[in-house]
Amino acid sequence: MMYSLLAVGSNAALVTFLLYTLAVFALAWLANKALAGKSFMSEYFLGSRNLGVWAFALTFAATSASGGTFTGFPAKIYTHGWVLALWIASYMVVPICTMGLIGKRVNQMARRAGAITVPDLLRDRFGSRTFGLLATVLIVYFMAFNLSVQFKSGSVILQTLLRDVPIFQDTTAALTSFGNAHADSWLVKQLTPQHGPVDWGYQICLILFGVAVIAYTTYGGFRAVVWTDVMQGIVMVAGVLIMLPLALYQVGGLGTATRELAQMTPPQNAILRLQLPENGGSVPKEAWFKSTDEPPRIFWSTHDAVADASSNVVELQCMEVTSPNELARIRDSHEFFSATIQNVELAAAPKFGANEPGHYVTAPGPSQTSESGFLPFGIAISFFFMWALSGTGQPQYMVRLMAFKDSQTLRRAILTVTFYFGVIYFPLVIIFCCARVLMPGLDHEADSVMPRMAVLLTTNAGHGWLAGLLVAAPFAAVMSTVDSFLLVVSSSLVRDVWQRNIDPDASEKTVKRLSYWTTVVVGGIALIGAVNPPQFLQDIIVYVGSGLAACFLIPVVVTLYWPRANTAGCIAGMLGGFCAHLSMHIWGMFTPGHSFAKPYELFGLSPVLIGLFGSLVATLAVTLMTRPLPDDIIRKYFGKEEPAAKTA
Amino acid sequence: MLWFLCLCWVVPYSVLYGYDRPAPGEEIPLVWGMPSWVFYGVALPWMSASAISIFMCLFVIKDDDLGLSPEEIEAAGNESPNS
Repeated sequence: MMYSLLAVGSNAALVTFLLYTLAVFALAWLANKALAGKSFMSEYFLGSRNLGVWAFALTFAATSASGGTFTGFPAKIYTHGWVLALWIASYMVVPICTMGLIGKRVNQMARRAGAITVPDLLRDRFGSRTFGLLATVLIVYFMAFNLSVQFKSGSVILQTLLRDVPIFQDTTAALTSFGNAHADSWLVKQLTPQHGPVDWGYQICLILFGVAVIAYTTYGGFRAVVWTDVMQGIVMVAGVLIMLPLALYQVGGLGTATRELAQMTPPQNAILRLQLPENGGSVPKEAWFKSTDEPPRIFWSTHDAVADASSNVVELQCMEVTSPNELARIRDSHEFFSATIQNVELAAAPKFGANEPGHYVTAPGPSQTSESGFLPFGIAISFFFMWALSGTGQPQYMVRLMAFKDSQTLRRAILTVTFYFGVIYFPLVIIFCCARVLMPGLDHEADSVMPRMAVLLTTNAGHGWLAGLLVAAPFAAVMSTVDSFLLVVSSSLVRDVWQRNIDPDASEKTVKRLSYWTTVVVGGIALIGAVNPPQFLQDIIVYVGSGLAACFLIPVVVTLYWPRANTAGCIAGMLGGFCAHLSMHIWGMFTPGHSFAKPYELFGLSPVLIGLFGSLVATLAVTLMTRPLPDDIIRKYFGKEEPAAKTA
Repeated sequence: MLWFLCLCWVVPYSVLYGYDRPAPGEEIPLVWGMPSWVFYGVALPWMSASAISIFMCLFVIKDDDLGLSPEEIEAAGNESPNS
C-alpha cells in the first residue's frame, strides 16, 4: 500500500505550503517594522525583552519541539511501542524545571549585565572574555551539527509534502536528466551520496526550505522567530489534536490497538531471490511479496532492485512479517507484487524480542541492534535526567528566558507550556502505537511515519485536504527549531566575537549589516552541510542536546546561584563536561556494537550523566582551589544595587 | 523536588511492573486502553505533575521585580529627561 499525497487531490499540498510560507514572510516583515526606533542589538537578538505570555510560552515550546518530535520520536514509537511513554516521561516536569528553576534569575542577571546572548551574560558575570569566547565556541560547535540535521529533516518533510505535485515532479525529472548527463562534473559529484544516486527532489526541497528559513530569520530577527514560533506552535498542537481522534477511531479504540500490539513480534531481515516476469525487470521499494507456502510467508522490500538485462532473477533486501495477527490482516488488505520467490535467506535477527510477542507493550521494548532491548533500566533513569535537566541551561532556551517582560509572564508561561507538552507528547505515543497497527511495513523508513500517517488518516476519513495541514505540523516544528538555532549562532558571533573582542566601538549601522550577513552566511554553511547529511537524525539531536547540557548546565546554575563561583571553576566545568561527554562517544567508536552515534554507556548510563558528573566535579574542585571573584562583581549580581551602566 | 518525586514514582513503578512480559496466552492488563503500567507509571504521574506545576504557578511562585536593562534605563531617560 502506498501512502501518497496524490490521493488527497490536486495541488492541495503545494497550496498549503505556499500559504504557510507567505504567512511566515508576512510575520517577518512585521517584525522588521518593529525594529524601527529601537536598540538594534536588543531588538534583533532579544525582542527588546518584552515578550508576553503567549509569545514567550509558544516560542519556548516550539523551540523545544524540533524535527525530532515529529519525525524521530514517532519513528521510535512505531519501532519500539509503548515503552516510549517511559522514554519521554520526564517531559512531565520539563516546564517547571527548565523555566521555573532558572527563568527569573537568568532574566534578572541578563538585565543587570545588559546581556543579549548567553556568552554575553557569562562574560559579564565573571568579567572574563575567555569564558565568553569558550561558551561561543561550544555553542557554534554543537549548533552546527544540529542545524545541518534539522535542515535535512525539514527537506525530507517538504519532499513528502510535494512528492506528487506536478511541477515538483517535472523539475526533479529535468534535474535527474541533467545529473545523468553531467555525472562527471564537480557539482554532481559533490551532491552524490556515498550510496546511491543524487536525490534531486531532496536537493530542491533543501534549497526551498533553507532559503525560506534563512530569509525570514535574517530579515525579521528574534521577533520574527518568536512570532513564527507562535504560529508554528499552534499548527503543531492542532495537528496532534486532529490526528488523535482519527487514529483512535480508525484503529477501533486504544484497547484494540494495544491488544494487537501485544501479539506482535519484530520483523525479521531477509534477502529474497525473486524470479520476475521478464528480463531486466525492476522491483520498487515497499512492494509486498507472498510465498507459496501454506500459510504463506509475507515480505516487503526495503530497497529498489533491478535485474540484469539478460536475466529475470534479482536479489532483494526485505523484511519479513512475523506476527500472526499482522500476517492475517496484510493477506486480506494488501496487493502483492507479481514475482516468484525462489529462495529466502534470513539475515540478522532482531537482537531483542525476536519471535516473542508482548515486547511492544512492555519495557525495555524490542530492538534490532541491542541485546538489552531499547530502554534498559539504566538508560530509562538517564533519560529521566536528560529531558528534564538538559533543557535547563541550553543556550536556545536561556535566550528566551532573557526575553520575557515580567515574572507574572513567566508564571503564566510555565502553566501554558505544562499544558502544551501534556497535549503534545503523550498523545503522540498513542497516535503512533495506533500507526503500527494501521500501517505495517514501515520499519525500514520509520522517519517518514508521521506524514504517511497524516495522509492515511485523512484519506480514510474522507477529508484528504487536511493532510496538508497535518504535514505542516512537523514542518513547523523543524522551522521553529532551525530559526532559533540560527539566531543563537549568529548572535554569538556578532555580539561575543566581533563586538566584544574585535571592534567594541562598531557603529549600529555596522553591527546591523554584520548581523544580517552573519545570519545569511551561517545559514548558508548549514545548508551546504545538509547536502550530504548524516543519516541518524534522532541520534544527532540527542548528541547535541546532551552535549550542551553536559557543558552548560552546571556552570550556568553556579553562575546564577553561587556567589563563590569563579571563572576558573566554570571554565573547568564546561570543559570537563564537554570532554567527559565526548569521551563516551569516542569510546563508542572503538567498541564492538557501538559507534560515535551509539556511544558507550559507562555503568549502563547515558553519556549526559557522565558529562554532568564530570562537569560537577571539575566545577567544584577547581572553584574551591582558586580565588573567589572581586567583591564588586559579587555585589553587582548578588547585592541589591541598581543595574550597571550600559556596557556596549 | 517535583522532579525527584516524579523520578521516585515513575522509574521504580515502571521497573517493577513494566519490565515483565505477559506469559504466553496471558492478557496484558489495560487501563483506558493502555497497558496498566503505562497508565499508573507514566500517565497518572504526568497528570499529577501537571496539576502540581499549575498549582505552583498560581499560588507558590512569587512575583519579583526583574530590574531594568541598560537600554530600558536609557529609554526611560530619553522619555523624561528631567526625572
